[in-house]
Amino acid sequence: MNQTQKPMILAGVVICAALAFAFHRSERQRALGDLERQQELEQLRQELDSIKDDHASRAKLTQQLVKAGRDEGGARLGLRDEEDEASAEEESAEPESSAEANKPEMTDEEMKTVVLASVFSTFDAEQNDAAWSTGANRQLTQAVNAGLPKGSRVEKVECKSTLCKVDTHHKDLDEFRSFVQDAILSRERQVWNGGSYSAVIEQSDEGVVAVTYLAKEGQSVPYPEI
Amino acid sequence: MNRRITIGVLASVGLLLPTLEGPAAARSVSAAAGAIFTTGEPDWIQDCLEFDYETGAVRSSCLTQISVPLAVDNAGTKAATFSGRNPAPLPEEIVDEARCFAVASDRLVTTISRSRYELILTRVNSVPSHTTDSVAVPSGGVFGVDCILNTNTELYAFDYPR
Repeated sequence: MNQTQKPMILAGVVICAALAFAFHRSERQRALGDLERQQELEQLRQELDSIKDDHASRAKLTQQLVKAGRDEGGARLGLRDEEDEASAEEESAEPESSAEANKPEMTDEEMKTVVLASVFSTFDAEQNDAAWSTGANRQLTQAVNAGLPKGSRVEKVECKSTLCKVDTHHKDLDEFRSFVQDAILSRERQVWNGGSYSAVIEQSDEGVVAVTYLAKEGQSVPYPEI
Repeated sequence: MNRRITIGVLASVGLLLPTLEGPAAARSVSAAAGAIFTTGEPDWIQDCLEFDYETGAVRSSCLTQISVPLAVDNAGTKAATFSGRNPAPLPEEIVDEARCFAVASDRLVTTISRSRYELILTRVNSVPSHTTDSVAVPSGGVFGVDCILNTNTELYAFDYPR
């Protein structure tokens, strides 16, 4: 090796080192990019799962409400903890006939809560079918206003694809009953031939808050199996 | 041999009978137990209903409405089956039909649940039946069926779960 070759070899080594460094860096960046994409993908998966869980939890909540309503000792409605789940599994292992025989009666209030939770869950999950809901909204608003007692008011009418929800406020219970009789049950004023469910949500000195679900023509309100 | 088989069959039926009863047990109420809506209706409407207490049927000679209360033992979602017929042929322009809906409320009438109208086309030589959609019947609440009867329509019984 002579003196002129030395710098050339040195330059070659430096270039190789620079190329190796650049290659390594680009590989690292690519790996980082992959990792980020994986993380994004994982995040999207989690979001998708949570959306699925949301629907599943609604269905589960309804089932729990139905079970809770039947619980021995009249346990108040609410979510069960793991212990309760385990005991529920044991209960379900009992023969069906004895479970049926021992089934305590559901109170009116519990039944109302179960039915309202279930029907609301169905209504909430419905997509808006504009082809039906626009006309139904208008028709129903006219009908309920026509059958509304003096001290009552309609807070909101909302139709989706198979169900309509009507929120009302009444001076007292008698007005609520009168409203249901005249605006919902009356053959003359019946807006269309569909099932309905009306319930008082809240009673206070300020009056009665009620909700009515009305099913589309020819359909019924989707009650839970009780 | 034949005697043994007969005894065997009877024993099997005897064992099966209690299982056939049980939770599936249903009740039946005759249509004659129904009361007519009189509020705001003229007297002639009341006069156009005949009650046959032997068959439990209600026969209508006009367009009218009856309400039949149905006693229940347990809370739950329940439906009722109704049946009817035409006692005599009618001119073609008259539609032979009865339509009913189920209705339920709690004792204080803070929840009211009703099904849509279900229609049966009544016939002279047959007794068709139809079942309403379910309604939510609370414990100790009121469960019943409301029906509109066309001229010359006979309604028989309402069958429903306890």
